[in-house]
Amino acid sequence: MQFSILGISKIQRRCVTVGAVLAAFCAQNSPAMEPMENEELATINGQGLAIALDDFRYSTAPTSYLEVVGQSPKQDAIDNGWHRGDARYYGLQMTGAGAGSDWHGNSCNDDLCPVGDGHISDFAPVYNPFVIRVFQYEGYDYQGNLLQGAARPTILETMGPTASSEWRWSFWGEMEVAKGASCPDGGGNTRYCGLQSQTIILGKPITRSGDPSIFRMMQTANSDDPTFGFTYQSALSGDFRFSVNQSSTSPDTLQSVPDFSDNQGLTFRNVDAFLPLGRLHSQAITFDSAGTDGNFTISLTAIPPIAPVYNDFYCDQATECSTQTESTDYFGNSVQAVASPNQETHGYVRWGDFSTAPPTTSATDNGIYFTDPGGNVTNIGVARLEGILIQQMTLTTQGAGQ
Amino acid sequence: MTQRILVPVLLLMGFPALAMEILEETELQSITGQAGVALELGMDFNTNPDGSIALTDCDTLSGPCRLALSFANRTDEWLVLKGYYGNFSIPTLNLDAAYLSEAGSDPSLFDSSKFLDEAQNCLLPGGTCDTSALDNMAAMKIGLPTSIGHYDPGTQISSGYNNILFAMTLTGTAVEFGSGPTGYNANNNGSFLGIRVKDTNSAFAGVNVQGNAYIFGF
Repeated sequence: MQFSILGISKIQRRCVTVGAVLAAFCAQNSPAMEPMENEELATINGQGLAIALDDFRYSTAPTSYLEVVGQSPKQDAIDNGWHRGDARYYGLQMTGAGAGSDWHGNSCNDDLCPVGDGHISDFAPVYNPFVIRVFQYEGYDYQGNLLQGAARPTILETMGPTASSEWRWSFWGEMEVAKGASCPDGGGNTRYCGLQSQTIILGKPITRSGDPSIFRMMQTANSDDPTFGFTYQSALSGDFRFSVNQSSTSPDTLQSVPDFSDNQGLTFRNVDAFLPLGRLHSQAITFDSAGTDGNFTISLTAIPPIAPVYNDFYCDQATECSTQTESTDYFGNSVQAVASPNQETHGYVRWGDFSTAPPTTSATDNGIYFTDPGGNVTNIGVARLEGILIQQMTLTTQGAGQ
Repeated sequence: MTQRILVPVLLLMGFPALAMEILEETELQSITGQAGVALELGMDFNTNPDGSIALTDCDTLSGPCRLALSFANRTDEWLVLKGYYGNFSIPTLNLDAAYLSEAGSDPSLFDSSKFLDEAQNCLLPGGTCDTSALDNMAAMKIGLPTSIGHYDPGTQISSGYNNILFAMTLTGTAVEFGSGPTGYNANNNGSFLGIRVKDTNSAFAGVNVQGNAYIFGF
């Protein structure tokens, strides 16, 4: 695998001040320097590196941000109504569940307020840490060969916890349209053109059934294009809130921290999402140029149209999809279904807990609901997508080459 | 590349004046007092420590401050990060050693499958995958000092976010097609994306990170 990062940067490493500072400096969390026996080290196999994060809390200043800088669109895009867009994401937080506050530091009663007061006791417990390792898995390559034994490619994988504490993840953001332009504010005056919002998740990057998030890097097992690739298994469960309404005293100007309403917004309760992007060793996310004008593609490569490969995707490698089972549906009708659909390659997104009775129109403990600034709730029920399998996907940048 | 290493802050805190004596290894091993190493980490990429650019044309698409990625089977294609500069600093980083039992993790969260090899053999010391085996394992412990952040709506200024200070500007990004090992110097294709990280009141974004990271092998 060739993967190189080259730079001609003048890199200054500043002030690597090695303070052999003893005692009091670490007094809050350092009980002792422990002598280690050779036997302890000799028992390490070296097959995995583990990282546990205990009592963890990550908090960015509400005024600190990452900005995606836009540029003026091409003339033909301007002629069709396109404007420059700039986006800023402020104050990324990973904090504990329980009592919390808003961006101005005011306490709020809602469990989906953005900043938790406490830490995350078991973000990645020592009994279930992040594991980084090289590993070999069996699977079909892009040409339909089953790679087994010594032929299995080596991959580098990072596997997240399969169980952890719940935690809050949040940020607030603003989208600025047509930088510097003014738009009507609805009250006869003008204001910035854009939207400020906050996004909050209370949950964990693990499905309700315990599937973790997994990131794998490899050289693609594709004799037609052996390049750098990766797969990502996305997993998430918990509650989600997106809101835009601000209090009457909020600044409501660009680059000023908003005072969002405590409860308003669109909320999804009991979300459970699993999305596997890529399959060892016949589908991966790869990078390439898009034409010659400087743009760039990120592709989830197409599932090869080769029977062993697509049978593996849809029905696992030991079974052909033509194998059907017959059963009886809810209405008593006889139905046939694929005998063993491959659950590893099929994703789902469930907005609400389907194991309980559907929520009422005013429920706030399950499903999808809107809350107005006055606290009135309208619950529209639960929803789900099952059997998500992406055959091919490509994102192509625009704007280079001008 | 300029690298300055400032010598450790030596123990100038009023230790009694004693003759320098040779310590035996066994004496070192028996140390049970407070311990650890504190580091200050600072990196400037094409910038001065105050965040200003080190070269006048670092903030241009055509300047020499670049980072480029070249992927296998993509001959003479470079994903070029143009006009790239920034700073990253951790004023205090505490390193120590610990046993995993110190973390006090919830045993109900244990997953033995994390510690198995391809043949499903347990890789933990003693060959038994349970919480006791993990409790007795040693780890490197990394932590940052306690820091309390605060935002003042009156002045619209944040304070106390001092664990990590970070600034970055990426003036532009594009694929360039240049041949040879320095082909990434080409500048024919402008940019499709720029990124900046900072604070509304400062050149540096501020982050507090609390807790401990335990890094161990098996």
